[in-house]
Amino acid sequence: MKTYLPGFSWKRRGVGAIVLGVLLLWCLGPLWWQFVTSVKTNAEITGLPVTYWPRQWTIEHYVELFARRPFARFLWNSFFISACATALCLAVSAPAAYAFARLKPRGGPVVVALLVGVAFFPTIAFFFPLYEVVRSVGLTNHPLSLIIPYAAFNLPIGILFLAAFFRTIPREIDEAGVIDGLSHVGILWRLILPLSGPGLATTGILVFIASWNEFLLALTFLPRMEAQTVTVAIASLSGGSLFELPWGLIGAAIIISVAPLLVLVAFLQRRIVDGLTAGTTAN
Amino acid sequence: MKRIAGWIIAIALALTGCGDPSSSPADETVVLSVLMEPDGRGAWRALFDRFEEEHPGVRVNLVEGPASTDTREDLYVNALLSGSGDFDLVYADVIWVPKFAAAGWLEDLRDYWDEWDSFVPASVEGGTYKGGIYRVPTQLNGGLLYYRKDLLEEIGADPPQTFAEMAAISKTLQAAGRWGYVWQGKQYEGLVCNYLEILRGFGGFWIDPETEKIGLNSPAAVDALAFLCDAVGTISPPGVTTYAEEDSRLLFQSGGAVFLRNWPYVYKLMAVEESPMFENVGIAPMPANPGGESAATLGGAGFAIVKSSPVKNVAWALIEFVASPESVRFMNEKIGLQPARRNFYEESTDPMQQALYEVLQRTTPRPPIPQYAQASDILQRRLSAAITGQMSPADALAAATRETELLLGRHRIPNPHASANE
Amino acid sequence: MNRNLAWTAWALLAPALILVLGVAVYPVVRTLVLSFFTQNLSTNLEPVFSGLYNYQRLLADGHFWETVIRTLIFTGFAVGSELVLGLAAALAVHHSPFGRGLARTAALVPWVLPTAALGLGWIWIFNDQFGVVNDLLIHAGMLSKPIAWLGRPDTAFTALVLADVWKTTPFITLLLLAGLQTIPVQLYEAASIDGASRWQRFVQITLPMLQPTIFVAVLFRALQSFGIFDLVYVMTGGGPGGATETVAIYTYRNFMRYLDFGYGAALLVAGAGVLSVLTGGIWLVLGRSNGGDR
Repeated sequence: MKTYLPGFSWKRRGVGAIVLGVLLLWCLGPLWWQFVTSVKTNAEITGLPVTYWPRQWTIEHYVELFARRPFARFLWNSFFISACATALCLAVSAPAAYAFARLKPRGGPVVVALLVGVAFFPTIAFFFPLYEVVRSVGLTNHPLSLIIPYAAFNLPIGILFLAAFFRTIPREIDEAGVIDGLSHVGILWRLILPLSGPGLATTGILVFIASWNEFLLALTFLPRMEAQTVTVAIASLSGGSLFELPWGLIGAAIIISVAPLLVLVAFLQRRIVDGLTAGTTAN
Repeated sequence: MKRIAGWIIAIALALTGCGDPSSSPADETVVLSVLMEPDGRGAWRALFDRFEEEHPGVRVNLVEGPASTDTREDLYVNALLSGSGDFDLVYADVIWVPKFAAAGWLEDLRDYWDEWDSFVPASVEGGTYKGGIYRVPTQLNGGLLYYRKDLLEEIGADPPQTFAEMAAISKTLQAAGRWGYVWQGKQYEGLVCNYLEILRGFGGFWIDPETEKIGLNSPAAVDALAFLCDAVGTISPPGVTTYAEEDSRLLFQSGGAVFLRNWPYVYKLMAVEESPMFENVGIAPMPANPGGESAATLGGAGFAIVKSSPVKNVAWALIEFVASPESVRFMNEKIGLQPARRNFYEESTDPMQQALYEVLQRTTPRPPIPQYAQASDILQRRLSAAITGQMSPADALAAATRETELLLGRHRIPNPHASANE
Repeated sequence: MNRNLAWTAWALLAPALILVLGVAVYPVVRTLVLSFFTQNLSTNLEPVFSGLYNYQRLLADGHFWETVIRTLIFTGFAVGSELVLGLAAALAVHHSPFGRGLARTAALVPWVLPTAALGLGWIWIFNDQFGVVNDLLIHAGMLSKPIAWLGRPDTAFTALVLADVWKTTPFITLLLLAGLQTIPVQLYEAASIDGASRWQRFVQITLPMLQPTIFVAVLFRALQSFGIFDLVYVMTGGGPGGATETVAIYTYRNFMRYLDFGYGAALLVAGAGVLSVLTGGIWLVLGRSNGGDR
């Protein structure tokens, strides 16, 4: 908390409040607007003047959402795929992170460079050959077609953050394990991992969110409606009428689809921010 | 506790791993899946219900798609390319057939029956590719000029024969709240259809299917585009560059325009909706200048069978039903779908239908090449740039020509496997 | 390190390596190979070897290069704005006496939400008749008539930049905030004793100390921004008039709509080439540590 102008002043408090207000408005404004739209009646949505608080509340859009489209199914698809991808990613990242943090293998930097390369390149660079493979093994519309790529694309986050976290665990623990005759795998499994709850949780959440939000692969690999993730399903909401998009419905869809993520963020914001910033500054 | 969790996970995995949750192995029902346009009035559903009554044990799964043809095409491509067997039939727009056939996704229907002669030839032509017939047409579309009979009578004018005449009449009759000529200028397939008619009217052509020569940089093509560009803001509302079929129809129907270029469905819809405008509307072919010909862009959808479908015979039964004279009459009544069957027009006593038939017999197809989607995107993009004032007509068409030449392989190196274009 | 240890290390790394090789490295190699084949509708979707044909076509493809330039311009505006705004926000929060925790939570929200879902929301916000942007601008007196944001090429482009900036500025703010907190207070105290002005302290202490963080942030964002797909696909689809068609959209279209696989692969290779040049440029400007000429 190192500010460099010490002291209390009303002016600074005032400016501070304004800054905070602007930030909150910026970050939360659009989402708030979606919420307001989702509880307004259609008449009010397409009426003038624009109202920023509903004159009349309604839950018809939320009801219609689940009635017209299998939205519960979309949410489940997203959850299932993201959860499996996260589990797989963590399972693969933890050993690798341990190797980096403790064993420092030769040629490690090459692997790090590879991981960083994967993180930096946009998905479009990888999608088509993956699509070819998915097609040829008949995995289109199957969750596995996304679970494996998601786990892979999130390995940079997984490995680098977990490695940073492992480095904060005192070496004495490892040494105690060695004295007890454990192999490195044993040390990892029995000593390090049980202590890594926070690190695993943080990293897991980041991977979960990234998987939930992914669009391009989900759009291409899961075209069948019942298989779609919620992110893709929203993007293809069509009105049924010829030219007006159903804004109330869309607002409701957006709120429902991001609600789980917001819950995660609310509970674990501290962890996430610490993890994010630690991961980047540790490089 | 852990045990139960484990079972739950295992079951969930099994459920999701099983793929399509809507199929039940114990069921004997045959399900036919097809992606359709929005079925707001429930007409298609009603038609399919009739089929189900006549064929117990068959269920037609109507998947309602978005209004945009391009988007539905992409949905079909995605499903067919992935080989997932999601659809048994394709409700195919005429321009999709070369692409889908070249990709090997459609069943050749030529030998399935010999009723091809009962249809307007152009509509069957539109479903052919390299000698095979892949689509049974259920709708015949051609671009028409709708005009306000009452307004033209007031100034004693006949429906315009040339573009200059149309512009002159527009300028005379334009008033506050009423424009002259309204059309579809949004950047989508409709824009290409509109332009094609003007292009033919000026005596030009787009791509010759035999020689693959590109006619976009001819003086006629530039003049045609210039006509449209000049129209925006003078005889056409500035917003016309964002209009699709419905926007333009609604403007015309509410009295906002003298001339409307649109598809035949507008006429029937006005009757069905009991629009007050109905009495005052006339139909005419699109104008043409000397040296050009009046053109109606061939459009319309039909049904094709997915080659890899396990229930092709049942799918064919559905097609026979949907394309029968009774069914097409039903769809015409309900949503103004213009049939492709000849006897519908030949036996009609409705003067409007006879006028329509005049036009529909002389339709102009869009280039029946497999790469049509890309050729259309190229043209749409450049046309839109010109009519929104970002490029001059000449520059826009020059760019379109270059890109289309590139597409059709003008720079190609010799290909050892002789392909479609050689 | 001894043999045994090396073995263990590599065994622990193996699953990750396999996954990366399979999912990331294989596609890159395969794309390169595919670019030397013609596989499209004129070959009935069969691959036919064609050597450098796709690259010849690519070089003459004016539309592709237009797309590249357009995407670079988008990247420039977006990343530039994010950096400036992010830095300003980070400084403001850093010096603010309270609310840091709340700010950090709020800053996560844009980053956490799926771009594609919010993309639809942005369409509504930029709607010409009922959109918030037009409403606010008109009420503030800055606009007399509503603008059809997504209907005009220039305003659609702006709307896209705004939507992208909205999402990623908070993320940059968080990164820079963390970087600011590592700068020792003593440096500033010493400088103000020497009589340095606020601005001088900023330029000579803050910026250089933040340089590594800025470099990583800009590089990461620039590469992601160049490949932007979700937001454009949902918000504008590349329109109007192709004014917002980015490289990724055009490439995706070549694969999934035109079914021109070999050419699409060549486009990806070309795109990667442009990305490398971009990376080199950013490294030259931001990556090298200054000698410290003060």
